[in-house]
Amino acid sequence: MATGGLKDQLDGLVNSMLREGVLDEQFTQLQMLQDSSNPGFVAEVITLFCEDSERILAELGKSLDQAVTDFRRVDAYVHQLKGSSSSVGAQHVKLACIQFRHFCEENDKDGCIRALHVVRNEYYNLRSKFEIMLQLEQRIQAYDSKQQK
Amino acid sequence: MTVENQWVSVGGDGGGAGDRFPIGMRVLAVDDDPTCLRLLETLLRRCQYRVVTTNQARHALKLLRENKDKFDLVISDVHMPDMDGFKLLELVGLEMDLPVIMLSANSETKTVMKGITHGACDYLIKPVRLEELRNIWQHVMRKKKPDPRHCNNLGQHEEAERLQLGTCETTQDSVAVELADSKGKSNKKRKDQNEDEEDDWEENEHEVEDPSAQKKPRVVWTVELHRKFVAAVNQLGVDKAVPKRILDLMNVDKLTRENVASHLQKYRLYLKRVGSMANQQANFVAAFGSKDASYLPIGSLGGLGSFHALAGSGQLPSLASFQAGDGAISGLNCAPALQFRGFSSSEHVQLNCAPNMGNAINDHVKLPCITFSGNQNTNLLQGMPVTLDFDQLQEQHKLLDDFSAFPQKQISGTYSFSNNGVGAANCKSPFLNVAENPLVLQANQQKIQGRGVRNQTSTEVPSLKADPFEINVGVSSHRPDTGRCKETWPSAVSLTGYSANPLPMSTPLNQDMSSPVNMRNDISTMVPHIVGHSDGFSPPGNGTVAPLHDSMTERGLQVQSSSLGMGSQYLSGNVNENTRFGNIGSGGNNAPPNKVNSLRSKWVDRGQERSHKEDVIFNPSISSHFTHHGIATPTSQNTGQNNAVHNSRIEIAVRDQSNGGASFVVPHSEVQQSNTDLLVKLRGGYIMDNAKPQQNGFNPSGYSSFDELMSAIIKREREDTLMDGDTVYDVSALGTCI
Repeated sequence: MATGGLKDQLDGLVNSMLREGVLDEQFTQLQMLQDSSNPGFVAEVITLFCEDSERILAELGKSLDQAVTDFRRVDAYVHQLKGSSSSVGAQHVKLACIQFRHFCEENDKDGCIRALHVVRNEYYNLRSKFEIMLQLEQRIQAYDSKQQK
Repeated sequence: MTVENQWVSVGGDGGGAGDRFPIGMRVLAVDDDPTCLRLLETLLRRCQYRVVTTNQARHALKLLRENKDKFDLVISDVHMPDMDGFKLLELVGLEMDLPVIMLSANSETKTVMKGITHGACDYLIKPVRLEELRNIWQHVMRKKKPDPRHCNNLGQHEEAERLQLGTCETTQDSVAVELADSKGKSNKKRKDQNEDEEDDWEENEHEVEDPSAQKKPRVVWTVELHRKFVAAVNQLGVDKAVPKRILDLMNVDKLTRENVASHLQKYRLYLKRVGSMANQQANFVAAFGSKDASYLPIGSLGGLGSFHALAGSGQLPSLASFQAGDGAISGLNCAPALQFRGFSSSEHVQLNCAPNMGNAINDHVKLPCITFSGNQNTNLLQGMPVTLDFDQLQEQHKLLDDFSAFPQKQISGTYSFSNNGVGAANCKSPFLNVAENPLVLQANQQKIQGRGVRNQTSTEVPSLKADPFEINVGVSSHRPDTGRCKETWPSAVSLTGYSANPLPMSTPLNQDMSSPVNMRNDISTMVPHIVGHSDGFSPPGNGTVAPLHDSMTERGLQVQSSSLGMGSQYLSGNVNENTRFGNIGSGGNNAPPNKVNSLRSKWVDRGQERSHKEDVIFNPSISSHFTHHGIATPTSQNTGQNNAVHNSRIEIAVRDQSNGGASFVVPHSEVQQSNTDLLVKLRGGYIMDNAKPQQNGFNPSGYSSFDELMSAIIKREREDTLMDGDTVYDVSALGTCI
């Protein structure tokens, strides 16, 4: 019953994120892939995504900090972030990445810097929600495993 | 094996086989992005495939090489830091012949197209969905095409393709051999993986295959081996190469004729695939009309190159495919032959190209094509704006560097002309053979033939990249003033010594001389080739030249001569390492009759590095009289054409200035070296990174006489995708058509 409550919370969170467009239905695909054979799948992917995204954001910040910007390099990072964000269904981040790439194509450094700002904001917004989600997931799993014992 | 059973049971039902899914298919997933990789892995497992993952392309390659026949399918991301996905795709296609699915968040048509041309069997866009992955087994099935008894729809498709290929073959024998071999091979492969199924296929195997072949280990077509293969094929001529002879030429232990045969077939398919792509693009261009015709996307050129290679010299078996694609293209014939020699030794390189192009498509457009396969060490483009890159190997990134050492160089140039306006379908390929041996000057032959096509002066310089191996060729076409050339040649280049050629240089020259007036309109295109063959290399193109003659003469001739600036650089053999190619410049010019044409050659001694740069400047004549020609086709106006060829490292910018009698120079310069005096500068070492097309400096001033003259167009296309070692083409054509 405790589990039910937690799951409801989790569902509510996910649904609100879906409504806001922070997440898209790709995320529900992820959830569908989580089953008894890999119970921590969603949490795992989210964690991977966050680690990697932060690395990329750091690299982007560095690249754009330099006097001479290697736009191709920047674009490669953004592209990767776009790929990973779309894979987890992080729609807002993905959209921000698409914008970002436009600036890259135009070699617009100021645009890139602004775009990075947007991407970063979207990412942190997402991450804060993911953190709540992960906590809920953990509690649910912990409860489940306790039940099984 | 259960997988095999299920495949068989699925039979012709390509889709909707969800419930009979091939469980246990072995998939290698490659992606540098951990999130995507994890998701992909999970999805694949959900499909009940057996999955191995890696986040490095190189590691993937290693896994594949070490575990031959342990994978059925590869899924690879496109953008990976250690190795471009396309490179991996290419290597896998050549070495393992496994189906490869590309994966990317990038859904741009160009990128997807690139995947196709490189042989990807599918291209998935991230995020990948389970439904898509449930279907990928079909690619495995397609690749392992069952014998006719089990032939399903998928199989038939491939069969049809093969038959089509067969029609391209000039030799019946080779076709038969290949069919047999390929069948044998596929059976063999199946057998390896499919012991349980054996009896089902057994009968067939015995019919077709030499039993001993089954015991032989599968050959890994390493880059080195493949290079030998390509060399052999090119030496024989693509259409004439038969496995046995290739094998003899390759002279590699433990390699069987069957190995060669199957590889040859793959190679031909590859060429064909790339070629057909090129055709499509060419048509596309053609559709744009004369003005734009001069501009060819690089990609298309690349395809052409391969196409040519496929066609072989003098023969255009593969045309059919062209025509099939677009009616417009039908006129286009290309038959270059490539030859390479001495891969291991940097010394000799042979290339033959004999492009023939009749363009039904555009009156304007001509595509000289050159394909090169090269050595790591040897790249020579001399006097030619042509640059070659063989990057596939990733071994060569810099042409320039590699340029340096050629003890002996022979260059044969081929010109292709199309008379569009005239409707002459023939293409002429004048040939140049230039052998340079500064030191030795031994029996080298130069053959120069200039052909002028009368009203049409459109020259195009395509850069081709045709080969799986990524060869870049840049071709520049020049209109040289022949008269000039004649005079200057000896002085300019020590490459004298014309050996008897069917078309002695003198002829074209004379013509020019005699009718200097007309020259303006004519443009001759040159496509130089480099022949590394120390032996003399006979260009296929020679025979074809004749027809042009007539038309030219009748017309009062227009310019015939194409002069090649042979930038002769010599690097003495010893010096190789140090030498960089300073500049090679060749410029073809059109000089108005009135104007003085000067051909100058400059040598720049680079001092320590014994690289010389030679610039040849031609004064191009652009006649103001174009209107005379008035041929409906905007043909003649063409002004100098410039081609820029790009190697990842080298860029050649050609600037054409035609100031009445402007000089046109195309130098190749080493990176960061600027050429002085030259109107045109080429910079080598240009890095492709610049996504933006570069424009070659173009001085329109010369064109003042042409009111309508559209500004010259120089375009460069680059392929944005950056493959390692990927070659980049730039084709810049300055076509000014009114």
